[in-house]
Amino acid sequence: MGGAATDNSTGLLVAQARAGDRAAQRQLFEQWQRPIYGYLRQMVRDDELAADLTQETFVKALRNLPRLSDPEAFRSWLFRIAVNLVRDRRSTVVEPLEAAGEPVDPQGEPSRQVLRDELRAAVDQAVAQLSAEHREVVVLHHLQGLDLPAISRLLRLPAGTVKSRLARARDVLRRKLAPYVEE
Amino acid sequence: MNCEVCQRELAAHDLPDQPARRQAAVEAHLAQCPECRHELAVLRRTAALLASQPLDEPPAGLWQGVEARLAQPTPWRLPRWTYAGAAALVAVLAVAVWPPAEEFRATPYLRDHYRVSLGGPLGDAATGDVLAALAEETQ
Ligand SMILES: [Zn+2]
Repeated sequence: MGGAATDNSTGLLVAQARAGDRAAQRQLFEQWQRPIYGYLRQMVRDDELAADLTQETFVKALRNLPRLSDPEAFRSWLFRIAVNLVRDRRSTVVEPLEAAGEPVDPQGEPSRQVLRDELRAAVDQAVAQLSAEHREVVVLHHLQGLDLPAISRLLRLPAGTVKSRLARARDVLRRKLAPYVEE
Repeated sequence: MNCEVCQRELAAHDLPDQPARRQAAVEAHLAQCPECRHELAVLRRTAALLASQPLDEPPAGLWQGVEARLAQPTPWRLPRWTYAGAAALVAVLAVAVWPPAEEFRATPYLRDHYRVSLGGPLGDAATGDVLAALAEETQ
């Protein structure tokens, strides 16, 4: 889940990138742009802005690479920069998103692809309607596959807070997505 | 434990490190309550549904923008307090000069200006550093 795992090759790449090796920097970018963009897209709900913030995340990360003491921590380092960019934006973003568009109707007999698209849209919309605090933990845990201790370190929140936010968010989502998950 | 309490606990039921006593109480209730078992199954399917969603694909060509910005010389750096001081001064002046000051916030203004100007020939990298310094200080 959530893209490439941190391993020895990441450590090596980070060391090379830190020394200014552009090819290594690009490889790190290729390896991690998907999870970072995915996170940002879910948080800001705007393709163009998410793309912009993705670039900003990597420019900051790669420029400041000498300040990263543990190359293995590259993933959390990247995510922390992305999280901070989003938090920095919150003062200008109205949230949570109002229920937008027509509620998706799970009845009828559409094709499988249509069903998948509908489901995707429904999940997307349900996540979008969460408060930023809830969305943050849901996206990191369920969509990016980060475990609770990692999220707690990343967001600099006590483990108990992360846990209760996640539980509450999951409860909200369960209500919103009930038509899709009831038998 | 009744159904109301049980269902409130269910969303946290699968999370690690739950208090053992609470878990045991939930388990005991679940064992004799089909309704709450159904609730738990629905919650688990919700989690599985979320986990099964593919991540949004980034547009092609993002690296070129990153590389272009990396190729720019690192902006000239003053001690951090200088930037913060300058930003504060900008904020004070702006508040003094701009009449409807209510909505005005220095940081979003700078950031938006920064973003708008980035693509241009006079790309304002220094503003980025002010923001970076501010962001680090407010962490
Ligand atoms: Zn019950």
